[in-house]
Parts: sequence; structure tokens; C-alpha cells
Amino acid sequence: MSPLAMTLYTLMWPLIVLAVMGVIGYAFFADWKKARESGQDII
Amino acid sequence: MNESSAVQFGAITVVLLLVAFYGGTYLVSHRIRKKKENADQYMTAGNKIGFGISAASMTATWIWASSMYASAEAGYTYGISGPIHYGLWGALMILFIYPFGKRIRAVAPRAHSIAEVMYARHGRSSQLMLAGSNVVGSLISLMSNFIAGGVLIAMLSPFTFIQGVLTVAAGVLLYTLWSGFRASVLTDFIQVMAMFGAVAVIIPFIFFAADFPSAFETGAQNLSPEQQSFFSSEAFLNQGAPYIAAVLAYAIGNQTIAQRLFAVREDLIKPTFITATIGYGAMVIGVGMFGVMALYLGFEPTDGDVNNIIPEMAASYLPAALLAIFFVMIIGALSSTADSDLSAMSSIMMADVYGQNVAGKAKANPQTMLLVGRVTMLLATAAAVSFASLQLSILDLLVFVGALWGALVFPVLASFYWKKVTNKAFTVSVLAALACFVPVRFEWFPLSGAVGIFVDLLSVVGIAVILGLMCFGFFGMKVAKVVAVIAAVVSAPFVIGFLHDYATLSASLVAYAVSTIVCWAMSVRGNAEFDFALIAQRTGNFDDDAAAGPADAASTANPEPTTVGDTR
Repeated sequence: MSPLAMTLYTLMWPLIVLAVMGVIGYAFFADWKKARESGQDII
Repeated sequence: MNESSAVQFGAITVVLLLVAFYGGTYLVSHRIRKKKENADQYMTAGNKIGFGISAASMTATWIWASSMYASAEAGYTYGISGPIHYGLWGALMILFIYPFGKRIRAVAPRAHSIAEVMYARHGRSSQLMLAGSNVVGSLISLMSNFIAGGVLIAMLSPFTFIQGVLTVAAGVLLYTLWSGFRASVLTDFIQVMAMFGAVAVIIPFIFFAADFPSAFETGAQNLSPEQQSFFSSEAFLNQGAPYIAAVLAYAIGNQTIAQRLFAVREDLIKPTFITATIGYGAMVIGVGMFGVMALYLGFEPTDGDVNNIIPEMAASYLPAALLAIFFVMIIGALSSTADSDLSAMSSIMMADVYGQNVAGKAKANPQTMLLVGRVTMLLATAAAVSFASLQLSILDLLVFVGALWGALVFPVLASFYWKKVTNKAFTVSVLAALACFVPVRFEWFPLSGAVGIFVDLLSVVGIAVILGLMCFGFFGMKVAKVVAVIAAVVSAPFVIGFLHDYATLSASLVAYAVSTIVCWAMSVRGNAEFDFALIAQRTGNFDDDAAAGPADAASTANPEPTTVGDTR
């Protein structure tokens, strides 16, 4: 594999991790807000 | 231990980091603490947790310290395809399990463990076989995570290995003991955010600090042609293939996964599993790239121990602040899995041992159940700390248990779909598979000549079973049968006369094959017609407060499994 391809191959994983982190974080705070509004524990 | 990275942190720094981490997780768990906990919530959090927490928890539980070390080892040993052959297959197993997960929840919406469902479906022997294997697996996993913590603390601080093990064990117990599974999943969210954030920063930082991408050219001579190939057969046969066989069994046999399956809101199973698949894969493959980078750099881990690759790469290229983040990342990974193991073992002892077998479902006292759960956590922690000092080969033990679980996969899954499977078929097939697995795994006799060919033939069946099961969940029986036949025909020329040299892989495949053949043969001509609706009636809440649903009344009224038409 070329250096460019290897660079993309190496650095794509932290980018995907960031995206998943955003999805999970957004969902958590949405659940948290909903739970607070309804006066319940999130868990 | 690595001299170059020894005493990277002073004692006070490490104590502060550990106090911040475990103190923070304790405070979070304290906020959801209830004076009188509910026994069912202690095990499965009321079967209704949301997407954010469940996806985070599934990801955090599946990622443990060893998975990061092993992925880096795969990258270092097998080159650029190594991390894929570790992380991708592990990730896809989460994905392959979700259709089965949906079916399991549909037939047992309020269960606490798959073993409990096996009791409702078959009876005591099936339940206890699964519960026993769950406990052994979780105990090994717990011990492994304590060892990883002890090694890390010993490597990066002046503290000893035993001090490190005790600190991690006490820290995990501190925040998990009172609220059980609820504390485990809530703290998983924080831990997975810390892990994700650390990986997102540390991988690019080390990449550029170690002079990549130019090192891909200057260090290319350090890689063999196989290590440079993205389609390395060596990587697939030695790393990928055994892992595919073991991880499918892990996903079925591991109570930590089942517990989250029963805890998440039923309509959120699919997005939870898909998100965990992507998160786990990206995280573990990304960390595995440390091994690939080390290979290009000609990096030699101390004493040739590949477990030193990640900590030594971090110690070599990260400044103190990022090294502290790295430290927290590994502590987070091992703690999230350790608390899951504690919760898994406690729920098995609460529901399967005390609830179903000691007191009986109708007479089980929720407060006694909670006591059983907490005492289990204390005893399991003490046992894991004791075993940790024995310096056992953890990966060998895990591969052994994973392969052992291969004997359970078909009988367990078939029991959720096929009305004809009986308790007798389940028990005999698992025992027969174990009886064949152990001699092959430990090579009690030479795997050569006719015996070797026979083992290879069973391995072909095992391959067909694994691929067939994977397709069955998504596409149904017709596609599964076609795929299984194609897999057998295509693999046979490569397997027969060859694969018996790989005892670990062969034994695992033999376990799948024998359990499937025996279970099928004993069931296909039977007249059992199990009514799956009975499972929902026979499983359910133990604590009769507001969390109890209509299914529970039925379960209390009909505690003993008496299968319609079951000839067990």
C-alpha cells in the first residue's frame, strides 16, 4: 500500500471513533434531558 | 518490566489519577443509588434502558484491556492486516448476534440471563451448564482485567503489581457493589467516552510524533511480504479464523452481553448492536495500528513481550499529559469490563442459582437475592485477585473457554427456534461435544492418519455450522442451508488433510460440529412441540414492586417448567 493509503488506513479509525462518540454522547444527553423532564432517573 | 518506561509517573500522580477516575465513577454511581435497591433492577435495570447508555455499555463491555493489547500484537505480528483480523471479526460478531438477540428478547422479554431462559425452555441441567460456563468465563475475564491493571500500574508507577491489582479490584468493587448492573452501565458511558476521546487524540499524536507517514517508506524493509499484504493468508489462518470461531461462541456464552440484551429497550436492540459494532471495531482496530506502526519503526518491545508494545509506544512518544490520558484509557477499558463481569456473575448467582434452584422462583426473597448478588461480587473479586497472582496464561484460558462455549452455540440457538429440541438432546449434545473437544484440543492422541482426516471432516461441518448460523439470523433457514453447503464444499479441499495441524482451531470446529450433529439427530425424529409462549410466563421479575409486569404473575403461578410435548 502507498504511504497515502496507509496514512488514510491508520487515521480513519480515530475519525470513526469520534463519530460514534458523537452519536452515543448525543443520545445519552437526549435521554438524560427526557428523564429529567419526566422526573425520573436515567437508569 | 520495561526499564525505559519505568517510573514515568510519581506515586502522587498515579494516586491522584486513580482517585480521580474511581472517585468520579463512584460519585456518578452514588447519584443513582437507592437505599432499597430492586433485585431485578440490580440485574437488568428494568429492561428499559435507552440507546445512549446501552450502546455505550455494549461497546465498553466488549472492549477490554486485552483486546487492545491483542490487537496491537496482531498488528505487530501479522502486519497491516493483523488489526483487521482481530478487531473486524470481533466487531462483526456483535452484529451477527443481534438478530438472535431480537428473537431471545421476543420469547423472554423480562429474563435476566440466557441460562434462566434455558431453565424455562428445558430444565435444570441445561441451565446449570450454561450458568456454570458463564461464571467460569466471567471469572477468567475479571482476573485478566485485574492483571492488566496491575501490569500497567507497575510499569508506569513506583507501585508493585500486587498493589496495582488490589487498587483496581477495590476501585471497581467500590462503585459496582451497591447498585450492581445499574452502576455498571451508567459508568460504562463515562468510561467509553474517556476511551474514545483518548483514542481520537493519541493515535494521530503518536502517528505524527513517530515521523509517519514518511516512516511507511523508510521502515518498509522491516515488513515481510506477508506482513505488507492486506490479504495475508497467514494472518487469516492464525488470527482471523480461530477468532471467528471463538467470538461467535463468546457472544452467545457470555452473560455480560446477554445481560445488556435483556436490559435495553426492546425496540432499541438493533441500533444498539450496530453502534457497538462500529464503535468496537474502530476503537480496537485503531489501537491495533500501534502494532503496525511499531513494526514499521523496527520497535523492539522489552524482553520481546508483545504486551509491552502499547505502553512502551505510549511512553516513548507521548508527553506526560497525554500519557496520563492513555493511562486513564486503559484503566477505563479494564474497569468497564471488570464491573460487567461482577454484575454478570452476581445476576447468575441471584437468578439462576438462588432464584431458580435454591429458593424457587415463587419463594425467592428479593432482599436475599440482593445479598447473594453483593456477596458474589465480594467473593468473585477475592478469587480473581488470588488467581491473578498465579500468573496464568490468560489468553490461553480465554481461547479454551471460548472454544468450550462452541459446544453450546447450536443447542442454545436451536432451542429458541426449533420446537423439537429437548433437554435430553441439549445436554447430551453439549457433553458429547465437550468429550470430543478436549482430546483434540490437548492432542491426547496424534491427529494423524485416519483420525486426522476424521477431525478435518468434522471441521468442515463446523465451518458450515458457523457460517450457516451467521446467515440464519439475518436471512432465515433457506439461505443458511445454501451458505452452509457452499461453505462445506468450498472449504473441504483446503481443510481435509491440512487443518488438523492447528489443534486449537480444529477443536473449536469439532465442538460446533459434534454438538450440532448430535442435537439435530436426537431432535429431528422426536415428537416434542414446545410452546415458546411458555418461556415468557416462566421467566420474569423476582421483585414484586411496581417493576413487576403481567408476565410475572403467570411465572409465579407456574414456576416449574413442564413442557408441552417435551419428552426430556
